[in-house]
Amino acid sequence: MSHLHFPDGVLPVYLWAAGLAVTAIIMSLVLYRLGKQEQVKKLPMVGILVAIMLLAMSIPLGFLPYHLNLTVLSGIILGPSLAFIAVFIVNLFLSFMGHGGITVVGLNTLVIGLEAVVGFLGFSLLKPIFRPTGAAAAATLCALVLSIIFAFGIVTASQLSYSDIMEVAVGEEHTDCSHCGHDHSASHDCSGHLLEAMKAKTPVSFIQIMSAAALPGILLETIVVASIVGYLARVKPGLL
Amino acid sequence: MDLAYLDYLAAHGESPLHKASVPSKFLMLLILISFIIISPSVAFLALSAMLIFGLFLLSGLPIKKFLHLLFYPLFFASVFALTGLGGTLPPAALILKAVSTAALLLLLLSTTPYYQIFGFLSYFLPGLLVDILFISYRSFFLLIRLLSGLFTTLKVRGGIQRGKLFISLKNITTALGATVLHSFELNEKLYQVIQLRGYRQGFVEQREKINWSRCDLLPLLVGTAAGVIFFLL
Repeated sequence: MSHLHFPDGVLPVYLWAAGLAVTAIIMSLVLYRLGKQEQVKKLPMVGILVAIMLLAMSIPLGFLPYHLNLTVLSGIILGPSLAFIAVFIVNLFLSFMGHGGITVVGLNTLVIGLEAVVGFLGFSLLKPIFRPTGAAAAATLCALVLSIIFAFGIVTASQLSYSDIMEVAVGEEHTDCSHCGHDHSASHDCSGHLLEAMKAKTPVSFIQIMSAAALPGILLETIVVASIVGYLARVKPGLL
Repeated sequence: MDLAYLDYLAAHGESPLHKASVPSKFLMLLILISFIIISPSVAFLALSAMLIFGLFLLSGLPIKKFLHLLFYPLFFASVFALTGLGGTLPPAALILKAVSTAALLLLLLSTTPYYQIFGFLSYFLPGLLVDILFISYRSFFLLIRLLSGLFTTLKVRGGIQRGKLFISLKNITTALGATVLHSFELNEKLYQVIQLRGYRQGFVEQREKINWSRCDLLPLLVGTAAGVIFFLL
């Protein structure tokens, strides 16, 4: 749902490189743990759920310009670590098909991986309280909203210049405060500068438009995931 | 997803690019993508795009069938270019970057069979990850048959109809649920098969020796040409 459709060359290098680095670290840890625990039994399931996610994305939904992701469903079935691997592979395949750039695979894995992890945690927490359909719906809704906020955070961060970040990270003196309006003749507290810079450079109209556009997609994905979980709970309750 | 069609093109092509070894194609891809990403020059990006589409023609690939796949990067790059999210880059550069990198990846996928790509990736990626990639690819083709059969049945019986969103959605959900259920059985079968065959991490025990040929000159020359053009412009 919140897949970043950024093509290559749009995002600043520091951002996609950081995304790739963080993804590589998480993937290494997950694969190390997987190899150690000998969870080979679940190995084919990861591959199969990757295929299901790719197939779900190709289902036409009539006049609606959306596609399903089923990431939360993968999180519920596989658990957070295996779902993260599945999400990485899905993004790799998608980038090969021109659906998001190859350099954006890391960031996309983090955004959609968050969806899977939150979905799993939400479902595990709510399962004892609600019926499976309700628990899945609430977990999916939370996961999608959070991942979209994260995706918007990335879009906002992409608008920051290198100097904006270095000013706060290293404590360099500001040279350009046109967006925050600080008076450099007097000393001031720099701690909130990055936040101010982010606020000033947030492409508000873009986020407002995309939030409105995302709403039907969120509802659609929530209904579908909840219905599938409900179906699985009815037919084979032991699976969940 | 057009994975099945790309797989067909990769397996049945006879062009020099199809015959070139995987490392030379990956090297070309790496050089071209790196230069395309770092270059702000519209002239370089336009020449690279022409070079890539020349390779499509040379490989005998039906460009028309790729247009809808290239529409995604074209559309999103245009959105970013028009909303000013692309930073200081000129809109033409942004669009050329997006379309060229996507076209390059499609070129690789439609001229190289998947097992060769996974075999090459196994040199760099953990065996477990390559195994999952392999199972994913195989499962895609197993499940696409099942799902398309289910969807044909639904359409024939009026389960999916234009204008009846909720009924269609309910039936699509049931079809997906049935596919997920089937996938659990498939998982059990696959697990038994790999256990019977004495699975250890990494399906590829012995990698094929890379056979360099004259066809490798093509991707290597294209990569070199891109490098020369990059430094000249």
